[in-house]
Amino acid sequence: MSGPPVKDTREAMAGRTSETGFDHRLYERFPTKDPRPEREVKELERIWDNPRGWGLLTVVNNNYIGFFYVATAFLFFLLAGILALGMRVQLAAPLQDFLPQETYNQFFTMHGTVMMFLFAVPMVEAIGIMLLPQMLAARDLPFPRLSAYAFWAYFVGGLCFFASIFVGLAPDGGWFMYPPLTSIAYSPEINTDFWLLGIGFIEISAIAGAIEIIVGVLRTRAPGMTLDRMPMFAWAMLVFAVMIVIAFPSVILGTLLLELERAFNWPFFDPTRGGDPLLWQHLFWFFGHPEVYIIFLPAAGLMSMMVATSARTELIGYRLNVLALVATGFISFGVWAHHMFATGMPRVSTGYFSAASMAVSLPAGIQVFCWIATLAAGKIRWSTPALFVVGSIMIFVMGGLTGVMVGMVPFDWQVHDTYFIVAHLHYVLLGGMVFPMFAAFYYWNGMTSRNPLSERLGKWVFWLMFTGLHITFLPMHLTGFLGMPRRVYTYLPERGLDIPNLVSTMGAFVIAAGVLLFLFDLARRFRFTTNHDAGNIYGGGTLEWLPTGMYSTRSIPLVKGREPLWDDPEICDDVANGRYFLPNSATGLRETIITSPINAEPQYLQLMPGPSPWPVSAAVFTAGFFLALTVQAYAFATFSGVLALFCVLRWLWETDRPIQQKTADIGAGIVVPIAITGPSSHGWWALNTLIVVMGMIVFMALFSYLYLYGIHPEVWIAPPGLLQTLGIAILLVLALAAAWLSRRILAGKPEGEFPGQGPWLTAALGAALLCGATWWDWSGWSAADLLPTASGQGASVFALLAFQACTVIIAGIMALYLGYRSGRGLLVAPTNVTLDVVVRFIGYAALQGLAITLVVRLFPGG
Amino acid sequence: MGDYRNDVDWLTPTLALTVWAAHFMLVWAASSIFPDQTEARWIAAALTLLALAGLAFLWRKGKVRSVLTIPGLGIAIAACGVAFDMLPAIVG
Repeated sequence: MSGPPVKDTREAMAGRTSETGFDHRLYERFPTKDPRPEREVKELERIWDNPRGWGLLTVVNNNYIGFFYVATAFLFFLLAGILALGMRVQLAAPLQDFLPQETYNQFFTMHGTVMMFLFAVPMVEAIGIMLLPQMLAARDLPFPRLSAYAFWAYFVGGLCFFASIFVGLAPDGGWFMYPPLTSIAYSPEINTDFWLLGIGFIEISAIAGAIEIIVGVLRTRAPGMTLDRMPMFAWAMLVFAVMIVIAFPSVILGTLLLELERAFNWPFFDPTRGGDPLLWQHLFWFFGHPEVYIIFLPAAGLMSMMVATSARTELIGYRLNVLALVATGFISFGVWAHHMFATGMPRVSTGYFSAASMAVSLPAGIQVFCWIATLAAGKIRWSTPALFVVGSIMIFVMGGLTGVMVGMVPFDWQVHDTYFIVAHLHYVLLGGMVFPMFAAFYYWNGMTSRNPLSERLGKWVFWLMFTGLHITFLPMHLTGFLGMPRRVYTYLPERGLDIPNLVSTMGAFVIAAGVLLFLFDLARRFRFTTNHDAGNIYGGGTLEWLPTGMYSTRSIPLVKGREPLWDDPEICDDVANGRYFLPNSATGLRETIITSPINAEPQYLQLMPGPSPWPVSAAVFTAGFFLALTVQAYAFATFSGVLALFCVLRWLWETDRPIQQKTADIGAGIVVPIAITGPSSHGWWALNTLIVVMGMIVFMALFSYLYLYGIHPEVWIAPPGLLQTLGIAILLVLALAAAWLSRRILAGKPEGEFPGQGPWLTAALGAALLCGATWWDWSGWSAADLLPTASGQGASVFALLAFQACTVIIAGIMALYLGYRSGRGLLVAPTNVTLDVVVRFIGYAALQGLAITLVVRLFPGG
Repeated sequence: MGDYRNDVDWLTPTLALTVWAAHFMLVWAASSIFPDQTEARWIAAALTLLALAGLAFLWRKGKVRSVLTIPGLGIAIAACGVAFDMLPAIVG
């Protein structure tokens, strides 16, 4: 013991060098010596128990939701794989008629779309939801109901979307849906609408998962797990989730704009009325290329962890690897237009994107060298995961090298839209995501299955897939050089394409044989369990291998290194015997410790919600809303939307319960508060992340506005007068002030006292001012004779106003919800989570309104 | 007790990469706004100097001692990125 023991958190607050004032000498109390009562485990089991049968629809625990998520994503992998086999049969020989042209178009569109949107991103998110709580030794992720909602929305929406292929209504415009091919003139049926609304909806689910992951990684790590001790997968998931938050709003906006154009004739992409089809490409690829890294980085995180275990040594260059992850995340946002080299961009612009496309290979290369160095430094055990890991590195490097080739503009012009690109992207995605995923299946299946998968069959699976991949995709480089374009349903004989295509088709079936063998092994050996698992088969050193139940670990350990199980052989026993943090339920409810973002110092105890039917109900009705919009059943869409809203509010109702107990002992006499508000709370982080998402949508919408102005300034009209602009700005500033005042009124009341109706009425006043400002803004542009159907300016201005109007409506609903809670006496001074969230959202809506009003009115004139 | 404190400065490399991102977006915007390119090249040169100055400021502010540290390497990667992005404006 380096210092005298301290008695409680008041003494701990005296610490001068920690992030939160927590005294690190308190950590010396762990592991505790006294035995814990056995009934504590029974109590934890009771509290974290889940319903069975149909009740499984209501579970929110990450063990179940993560498993459902992984299983569903894998189902979509199989379905998209079957589509690929169909395409390969069609292309096995020239002039085949296995698939008619229209069906083939739907097959390749659905293959790409399902693989990218319904398999790859959801799969890595699913693995994150499944592994992260155990890896961080949290009881669960901080918003379990949000995870459940994200999963069910994805499940219902994904299946409905996929079902469109059985009725011939599947999208057929390619996975990137370029207008004008997908505009109403060339795609008048609802196939395209299925894609636009389906994908937009599924991306919302991905963003919900990303918010959960960001807050989970930053705020629910075990005490002592500083940023520098985080497992690589947690780092990768953090970067992944931040990238989703930045990138996905762009495609959500794109899908909304294209749907607005198709449904209401707003000409965003119509060059005859001041729109531009290239705007779609910018919006799509600003998401689309980072998407590749969004998929790759979590897989790289998994690889880093498996490499260390396979080589039986700590990862070499841990910090370099983290830096490489962060750098890749950044630079990947500077490469989107390398998909547009053939569109005739200005020469210097193409040069910038070419330079960035090559630069991004530097951080990716750092990771590869770290893995190779680790494998070289250790003693490799050639298990199935190790084979997949090494195979993955080889495949990914091959794909990366052809990526550098297509980063060069003249080369890209030659192979653009040929099978060379198909080969390149499959090498990158299979090596960068699919192989690591299979490695992870083998490596982590001991966490969720009673029996391990077969090592012998696993090696067969690897060799079949590895060989099949090269047989399939290596010849495609040649096919591309010979000039075969992508997305054609057939080709002429005697052009040198017959043999390479036949070989590729044979290879595809070899891959399929590997996957089939994996399924056979899965059916034979895999038995889902949450507490009698096969365990740490490969000898991993991170926390997910601690003994766990539905409540995650019995007690939450103090983390002293990057591989705690290798560093301290006693840790498993100590954790299982309750000798660390939170060995029991301090409140008799589901709970976890919220720690600080950098040093992971304990801050407070979060109460967690249990099973509920509301997340699944909200997801079903949200899916109904989007599905009804697709088939233009607007009345049913409204009905579903209202029900979805009701379900969300009903689920939130229970999450901000006032409780009598204000503090809790989280072990060894360390006392922390329960459920706080403000910048230290996890809810504050979540709302801020959501605000970043909304801000990015507005940012990209303003970009679209300015982009169209740059292309077609001749159709721009003068904005309304300055006086009106000033009036709108004043209303918005007053709304901001009302939001601030609402919180001040509540804070000014004595603790525990009901503050009256003042706080919510002030918040409602803020929402009313927002409504007034938005109405004034809208009517101002209408009075200036700007129509949304008239020009790109009209479309983009009214799209921005429509987004602001939606934000204001949400703010209004939130204010009414706050009023209802206040009327029920649930608002207690001096702080309240619901009020905190509502007034900050109103404040954000005011700032968003200011940005929209000022940029479109003050920037370009007529 | 220094064992439970994060002793790596992750903020400096993150800010350095933010400088790279801002530089990239601005030089691209300039090249799109001025398609005849001459102005875009001059703007790129000015922005590159500004970005490198920003990185130098981060180096001083972060008390970075060597390029072999994480903040130093982060700044170095960002500086290479900025310089590399400048090349098309000179030779493109």
